Amino acid sequence: MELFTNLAFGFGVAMTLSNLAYCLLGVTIGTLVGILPGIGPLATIAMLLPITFGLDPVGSLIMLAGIYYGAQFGSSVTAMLLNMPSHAAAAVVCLDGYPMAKQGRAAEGLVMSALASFVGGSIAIVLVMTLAPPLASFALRFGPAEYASMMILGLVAAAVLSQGSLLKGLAMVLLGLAIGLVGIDVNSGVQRYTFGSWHLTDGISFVIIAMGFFAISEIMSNLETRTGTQIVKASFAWGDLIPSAAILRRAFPSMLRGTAVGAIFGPLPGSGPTLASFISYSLEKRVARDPSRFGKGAIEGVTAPEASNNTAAVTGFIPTLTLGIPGDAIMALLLGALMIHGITPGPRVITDHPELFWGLVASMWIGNVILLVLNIPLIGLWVRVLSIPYSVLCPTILLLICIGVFSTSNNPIDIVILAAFGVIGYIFYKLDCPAAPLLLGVILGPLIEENLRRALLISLGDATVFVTRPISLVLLLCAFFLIIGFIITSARRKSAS
Amino acid sequence: MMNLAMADYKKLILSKDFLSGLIFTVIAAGLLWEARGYAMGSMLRMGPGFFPVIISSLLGLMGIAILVKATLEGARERPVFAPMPALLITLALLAFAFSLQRLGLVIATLLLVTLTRLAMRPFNLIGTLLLSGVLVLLSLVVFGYFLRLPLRLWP
Repeated sequence: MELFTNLAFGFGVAMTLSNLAYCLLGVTIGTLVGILPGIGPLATIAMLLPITFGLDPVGSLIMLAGIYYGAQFGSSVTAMLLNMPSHAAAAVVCLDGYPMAKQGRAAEGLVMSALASFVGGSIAIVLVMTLAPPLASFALRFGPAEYASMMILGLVAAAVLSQGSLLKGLAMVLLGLAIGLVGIDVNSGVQRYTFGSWHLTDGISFVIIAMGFFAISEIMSNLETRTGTQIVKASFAWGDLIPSAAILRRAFPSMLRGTAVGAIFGPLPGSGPTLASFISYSLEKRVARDPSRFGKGAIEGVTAPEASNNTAAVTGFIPTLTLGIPGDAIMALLLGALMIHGITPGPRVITDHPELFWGLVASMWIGNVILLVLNIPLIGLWVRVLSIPYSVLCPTILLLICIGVFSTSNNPIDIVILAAFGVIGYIFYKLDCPAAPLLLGVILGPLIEENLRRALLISLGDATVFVTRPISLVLLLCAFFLIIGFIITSARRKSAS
Repeated sequence: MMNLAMADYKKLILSKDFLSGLIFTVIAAGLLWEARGYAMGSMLRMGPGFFPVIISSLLGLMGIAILVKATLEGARERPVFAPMPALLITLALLAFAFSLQRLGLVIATLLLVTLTRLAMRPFNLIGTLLLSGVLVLLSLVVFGYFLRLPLRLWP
């Protein structure tokens, strides 16, 4: 079996002492930072990216993936105990997790949430292993025209599914594409949008943009609405940490349903974990014999979205690693990190860098196990992180971000750019303009331009190539129908209300 | 009558939707203006101006579409700003950026922490000094020792 030799190879990569350490470190730091109120997985990854730049590509991706699972678990803790979602997907966990915590069942909720993530994650890893290689070999047939169309589909999907106004989402994507243009054009050597600044000739690092938009502007808006939040008192004795057989029996089917939902929505462009969580929650409510239990601490209301969330997070790696198309902003960050290490994302990653792909797959498993066996006993400790006052947290986070940004180029100008993007992000947040599509645009911008250029060069300047090649046409039609579908559903919603 | 209409216009212009449409349109115009110096090239060989012009034109279209939609729907919802914390955080970041290499990590951290804590009430001087001290030590250990960043301590 080729699959098993590949997997064994992957475990060989992931089990080296240094990679194990990166995985452990990533999960632990990710949990620690993700637990902080108001800091979701996206901000966590953006903040911690600079730390991983010194590592080799495999170690860095393993650590980032660890940070991702850790941060997701961490934000579930915050959602349940503070009733404070630090990102959209965690809002679902609040619905039943917070009532559970208030009833003194916080330990049960958190343990089951970790268990659900583990079940979902494990099944998702099998999907990655089986689906990614064939998809990659299919994508090897893609030419530049298909790539350009696929990226357009990804960007349109990100704008459509960003919840809110379609026009604003598309505008943010376009603005992101424009920001991605800043710097010297590799083909002509012309400086674009550098405004005479020598520092901008290398372009603006997506790390700074992500930190400005997702960490700094978050802190700014958190500070103005901050009111004293009350942590639910919870006991985390050993006895509380072992769920009863009745609870397990009740929750297990919901985990599987959640996993199925996550597996469907995870790899789709633009949807990702957030949509998966929401859909699996409403599915649970629909299949439940007594839907009135939901919102009052139903265990399925926690386990299904958590399983779904983690499944979607893991399966989101499929399009990212095989096609080079990130499904959401988090995957876009990971993609950007790979590009910094000189790895061009695309179907060749699996064959050209097998150690990266199979090492990551194996480390996902290790990361999920670490999350389960290490974090559950430590829940009591994690909860104590929540009681750190914001007046200590906020300056600490800002300092870490500043020095992290400074470390990327040893130039304090980057901190000024960070502040500028923080302010811009804050204003856009106030105007209900979603930031995630912008980040996707920033990262995909240079890739789209390059593929557009190549496609036109190959077709001898014939722009119809995008609709005459069948795969490209299908991808563009998908993007078109996404927009049409969105307009129809929102028009219907408006006439209904 | 006239006054009422004026008030209505003011509400529309200050609404979230109209403002964002305005911002996008202005940015698009700026991007197009800046791109006028880049060679367009041809379909066969895209010049450096080709993609920027497409993108900024589309952005301009979106901006105008948002403006039109806001006007037709009579958008009224105003953004709620409480600009003090945002202003202080921005100042804190700028102060840190300008003092890090000139005045050293200790003073830069003190400035950052003080300005950030001013955004949070009540302000506590001893706590601020203590936190700055701890954070200087922390950043020395994490960034100076582990990541070997060239951080200078004093002016």
